Amino acid sequence: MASLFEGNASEWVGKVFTAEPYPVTSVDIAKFAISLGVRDAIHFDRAAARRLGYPDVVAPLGYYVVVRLSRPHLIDITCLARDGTSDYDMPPSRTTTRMAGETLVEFRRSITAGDRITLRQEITGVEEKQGRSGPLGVVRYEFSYLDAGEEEMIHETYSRLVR
Amino acid sequence: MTGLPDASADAPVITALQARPDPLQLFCFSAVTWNLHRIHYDLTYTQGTENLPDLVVPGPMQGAWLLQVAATAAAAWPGRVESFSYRNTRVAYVHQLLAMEGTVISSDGTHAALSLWVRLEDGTRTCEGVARLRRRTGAPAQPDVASPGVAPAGGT
Repeated sequence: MASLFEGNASEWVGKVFTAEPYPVTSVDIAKFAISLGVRDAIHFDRAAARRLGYPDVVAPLGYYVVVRLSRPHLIDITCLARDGTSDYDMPPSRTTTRMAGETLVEFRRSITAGDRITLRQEITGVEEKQGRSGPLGVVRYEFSYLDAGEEEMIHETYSRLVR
Repeated sequence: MTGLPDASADAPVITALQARPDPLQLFCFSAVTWNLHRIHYDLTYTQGTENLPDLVVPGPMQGAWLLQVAATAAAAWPGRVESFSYRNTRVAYVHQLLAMEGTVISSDGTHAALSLWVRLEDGTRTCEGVARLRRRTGAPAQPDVASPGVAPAGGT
C-alpha cells in the first residue's frame, strides 16, 4: 500500500511551532460570541464581567480555537491550498482531504480581554492505518496556550486526519 | 447535589441550546476563527469540487456550542469545566436544526461528567463529547484561579 504521506513523515514527530503572541481583545471576543449566537453579558460588558470577578470581558470556552487557527495560519493568501487550508504543520501528503479527529481540551483558567496568548504546538505522532473507508493518516498534536507569564491556560490534544 | 440532574439511568436530557446556522453565521464563525476552508462559506466550491450537497457546519463550532451547554450546567451546579473531549461523527450542513443536548453520566459531589452531543432532527448525532466538571468551593483548587480578579474557567 502506497503511503499517504510523502517522504519520511516520521521525521515530523517532535517538530515544535511557536506562534507570536495572540492579543485577545473585547472586539474579538464579541465577534466570536455573536458568531455562536451567545448573548451572555459577560462576553460583551466589562462591568458585568467584573461583577463576577473577571478583569475584563470573558471569552466563551470555545474561543481557544481562534488562537489555534488564527495566528499560525496568517500566511500569504497565494500560499493557501485550493480548498483554503494551509498545511504548514503536517507532513506533505498525496491526498487532499483533511478532517479533524478527536480533541481533548483542559481548561486551567478563562481567557479574558487583555490576555496575550502564546501558542506552542508540537507534533507528537504521525501514523497510517486502515480506516473503515480506506487508508487513513493521523497526525497528532499537543497545544499549550501560555499567558504572558508563560503559565499554561489551556492544554489541547488534537489529531488531524488525512484521507 | 443541586443544579445538575442526578446521574441515574433516567436522568433528564439537558437541552440547553438549539441552532439552525445559516450561511451568514457560518461565514462569521469562519472569519473570526480564521478557518479558511472553503466548504464552510463557498457553495460553488463545496458542490462543484468537493461534491458535498451544501455548506458544512465547522466541527469546532459544534464543539463550542457543546462547551456552552457544559458551561451553563457547570455555572448552575456551581462549578467549572475542567476538560472537554469531543469528536465530530457526521457532517452537519447549513440550515439544519441542531440540538445541543446532554446528560449526567457520573457525579460524586465534587466532580461530575456530562455526556454531550449535537443531534439532527432525524436523531443522527453529528458531534459527541464528554465534559468533566469540578464543583466550585470556597477555596479554589488551582492557584491560578485563586488569583484576585481571575475567576475560574467555565463559569459562564
